[in-house]
Amino acid sequence: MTLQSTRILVTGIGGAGCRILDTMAQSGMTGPFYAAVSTDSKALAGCRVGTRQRIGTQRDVSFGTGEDVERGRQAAEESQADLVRLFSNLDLAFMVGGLGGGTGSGAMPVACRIAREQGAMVMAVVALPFEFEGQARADLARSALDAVRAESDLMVVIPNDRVTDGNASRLKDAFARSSDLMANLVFGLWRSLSKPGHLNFDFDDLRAMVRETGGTCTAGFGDAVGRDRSIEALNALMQGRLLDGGQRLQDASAAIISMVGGPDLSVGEVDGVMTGITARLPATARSLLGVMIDDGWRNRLTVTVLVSEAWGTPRPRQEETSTPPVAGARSADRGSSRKRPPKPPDRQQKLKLDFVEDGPFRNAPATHLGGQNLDTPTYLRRSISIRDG
Amino acid sequence: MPAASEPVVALEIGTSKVIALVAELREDGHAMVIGLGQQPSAGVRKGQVIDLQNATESVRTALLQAEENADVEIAKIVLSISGGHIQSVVNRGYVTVVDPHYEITAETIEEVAEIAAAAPLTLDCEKIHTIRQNFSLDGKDAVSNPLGMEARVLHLSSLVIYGAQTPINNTIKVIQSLKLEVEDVAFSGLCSALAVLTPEQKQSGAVVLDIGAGTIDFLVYADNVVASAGSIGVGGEHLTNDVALGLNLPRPQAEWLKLEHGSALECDDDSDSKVSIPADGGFSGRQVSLRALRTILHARADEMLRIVHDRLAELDLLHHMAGGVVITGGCARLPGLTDLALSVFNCPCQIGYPRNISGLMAVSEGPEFATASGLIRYAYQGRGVRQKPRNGGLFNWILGRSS
Repeated sequence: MTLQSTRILVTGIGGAGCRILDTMAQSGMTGPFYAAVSTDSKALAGCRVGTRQRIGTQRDVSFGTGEDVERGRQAAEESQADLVRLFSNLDLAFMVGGLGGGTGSGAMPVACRIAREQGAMVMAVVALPFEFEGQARADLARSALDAVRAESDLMVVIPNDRVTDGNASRLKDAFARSSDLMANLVFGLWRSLSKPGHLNFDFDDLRAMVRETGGTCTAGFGDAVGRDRSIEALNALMQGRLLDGGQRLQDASAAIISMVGGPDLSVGEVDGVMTGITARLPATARSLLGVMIDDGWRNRLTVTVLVSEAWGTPRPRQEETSTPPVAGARSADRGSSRKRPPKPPDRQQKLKLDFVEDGPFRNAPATHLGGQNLDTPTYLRRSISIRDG
Repeated sequence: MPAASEPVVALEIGTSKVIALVAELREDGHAMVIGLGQQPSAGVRKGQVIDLQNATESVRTALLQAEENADVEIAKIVLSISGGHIQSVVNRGYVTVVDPHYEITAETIEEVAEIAAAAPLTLDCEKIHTIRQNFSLDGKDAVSNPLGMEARVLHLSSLVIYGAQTPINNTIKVIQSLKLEVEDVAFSGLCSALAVLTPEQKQSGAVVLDIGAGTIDFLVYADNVVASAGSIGVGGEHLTNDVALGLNLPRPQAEWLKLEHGSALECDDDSDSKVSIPADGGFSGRQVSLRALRTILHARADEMLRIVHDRLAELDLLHHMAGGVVITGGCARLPGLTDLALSVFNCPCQIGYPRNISGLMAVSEGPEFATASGLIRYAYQGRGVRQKPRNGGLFNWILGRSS
């Protein structure tokens, strides 16, 4: 019921982004609208999704950016008109990619900015390079991280090093595994936000969480089949390196827990997983739970957790745009984007806090529909001015 | 099994008021109201109980009033359920006919009904109604009663109306704590449809919108079957709240304005007339712009109707409603609402008054009594042809009377 009309686009940016989208499209994750964006037309050709958008002028005909962040950024800005068209009329834009390369690091912040300017909420899901890829790439990724964070509403960061279990994996496997995991994560997030769940969270909840978490998260993932699926999925989640063996939960200020199960999923199982996770969170941490029932998930349980985690420098606040300029994002751009007049949805959020939460519906179940909180007066949401007197 | 003439007590725990109706069934099929209890609600928001103690008190008072009024002793009641958690789903089932001559027997029908009723609900949901839609023979011909007919495969679609277990149980707990028996429960949207729709409207297709203080409960008839039903947690309280916020008024004054000067239509001229709100208690009296009031109300009323319109459009039901839109519930009294509905739905719209119920003018002429009146019909139908015992026994609290 909720959010049925929400328009969501999953965008893969750069080589890694296209690889992840291809993985999603090829492994039967149908449903989301996909768009691949890259400077490299060969990478685009290999990405078998509905919409493909090459960025940059003909001049560098399509061999990618050669790891040059500045060229990635330029390419995105040259294709601004195409990106505006791509991101117009969206409620939520997922930006998926790897940081550390040219297109991912350079173009992603620009794409995020454009999507936001079109009124979409932007969720960036990014991978950080493996350690073996070298220090230069790691440094590049770190600065790109700040640039993306400044332009997105919520950022989920997956360090590739946490994807593999130590040195055992072969190089090829390591990349495949990273793509696989990112694909599952993005699909899981897409589903929680677009399909009606029985215990659902929606945009408003997510926004509230975003505010409290400072907008950066990492993710954990657990999947199991069989009778003891809830215990096994929880164990996989806790013992996995993604959450540093559960360490990330202990430092989190907020967590979003999303479960997918079959019609046979019991309340006890949901409760068990929920308790297992919240017990490890600090007492003050806020948590959100979403449960989806999918006929294809009979006998299976998938648990995805987003936990707040601080990455690098603190997120710049409204007026403090004095963080040092980073590669890939012009400081002037960032300044203007932070000071941009708030978008309509943000304004609603404030109005809701000011008036309605203290109003008559305070203790009542909130009524959400199509991403809107119906308890907020209609005239406010429709921006109708009331002149009395 | 009680006789059909034993009075029925219908109870609606609404967001703004609790209504208890005591009625008897006359021989001509009319229900005769013999007692009425009405109390302002407490502890109910958007059709759901949020404060058990306060809600219980208002229900107790309403029931005592009805008891006195009808001069009966109330031991059991039928209860209506509402709230934004209520939804419906069409569930289809089929069985292969095993009879050598492919004749459909009562057992075949029983079997397919059971399958069609078994909608895959999660454990936190509770089925409220299973309503048969159409049988079809070998996936082709739709029939209403296939008994004795011939087919290889018998299909049946059912509309399953369900809601979240917790709010349903909490509503039942109110009755439980008064040591009364719940004879049956019914979705208030279904009750309202039973009360206000004519047989012709059901046949040609119609939607009933029961717009109360906390919820819009809707039920759609299309092609003579119940095609969809549900509830949305928006209602008259939202109208009042919008006025209070938009004109910066205390809630009682906003409510008064809505009732006395409200309209679902915007002002159609340029004059800027004022409305005086009288002083009352701590409120020192004020003038507000009529245009502003009606702009606020129009925006909300328009949105409420569009939510349902869009829901029906999604289900592709809009073209199956020759009987039009019937608006009932307390908000049906908002002037201009049927005109607004006409422009939103683009089909005939009218206010629905309880039919086939007499004894009390207030009831037969009050759209806010639609649910309670329909509940009486529902209860009598249930007593007459008792289909099967309900599953789980959740709705059969037999607790004895303490006093």
